Amino acid sequence: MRDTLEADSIVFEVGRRRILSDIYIKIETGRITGLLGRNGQGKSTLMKILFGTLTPMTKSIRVNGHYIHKPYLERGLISYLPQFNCVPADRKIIDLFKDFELDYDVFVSRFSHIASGSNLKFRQLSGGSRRFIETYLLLFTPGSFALLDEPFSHLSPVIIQEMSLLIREASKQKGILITDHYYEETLRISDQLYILQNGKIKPVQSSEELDASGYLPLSCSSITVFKSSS
Amino acid sequence: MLTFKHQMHNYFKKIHFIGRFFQSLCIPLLICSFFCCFTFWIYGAVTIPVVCWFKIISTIIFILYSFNYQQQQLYYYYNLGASKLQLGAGVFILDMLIFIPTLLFLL
Repeated sequence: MRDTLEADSIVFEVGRRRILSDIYIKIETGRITGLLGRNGQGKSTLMKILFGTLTPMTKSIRVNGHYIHKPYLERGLISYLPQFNCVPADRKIIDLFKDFELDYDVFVSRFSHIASGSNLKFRQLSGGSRRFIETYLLLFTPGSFALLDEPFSHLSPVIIQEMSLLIREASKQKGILITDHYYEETLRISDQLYILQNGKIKPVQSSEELDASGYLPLSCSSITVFKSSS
Repeated sequence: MLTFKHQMHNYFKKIHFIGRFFQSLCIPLLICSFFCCFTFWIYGAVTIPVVCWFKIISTIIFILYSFNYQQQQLYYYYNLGASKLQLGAGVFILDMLIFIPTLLFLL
């Protein structure tokens, strides 16, 4: 049976500016939900509201129909990758895996090129390695849902591909909401897609709808990406 | 339904994370404790109310300030299931557990 996280009636204002207006979004385990939108449209804000660390004017967040006030306080429910590095820089890699109850050896056996020493501190890694490890920890820590805010930033194309496979793999157990300005990769891995525009959210069913939304520059068309993903 | 063993495991993990968060701001807290104890040692028991209030207020200010300048790191602890209130209250209690016995020792 699939777990479902539904959020509706989300209204968020900063001063007199309404950032999010009557938002409805649904995330299901086993599926990757993509969220696109221009800068400043409220994608990160929406993720923080879903995670429970930001309180909007109104909201209703339900998991399998049960209302949840602060999802992040429910153990084993949700994890959130912010768009910045959140891991304490002085923490050793091996300790990070212990904190999240994950096996470091499994990680190293698959991604030895990412982190070569368990006793290295997090700050000693490159920006890409830091991003990869953070995303891995939050994807595979026990939980039903993961919110990923720009997981592909700082990653090289080959590592982005590995990351996509990793997200795909984690989505077998989890419901994943992903937002990233590497829209081609986001489109490729998403099972369903929403676009956030002028405070409103709407599902995107076809490449024409995405092109018409004005998210992509005129020189780029999403048709090729949609074709390759289908 | 969580078993008693799992609940205890969760509590200990939470205490561990609070300890980690405490480590990140222990230097200013311990300097403040040292300053308070030194004042008490020099000027005697009449300074107890002033020293205690100074310590309580400064600890609260340090905690609130750390929430502000370590905002990004807070998400690490949120992902581990700890709230801001738990972290703040935990650090305050840990700090007092160091400060009060030291003060009593000097009495």
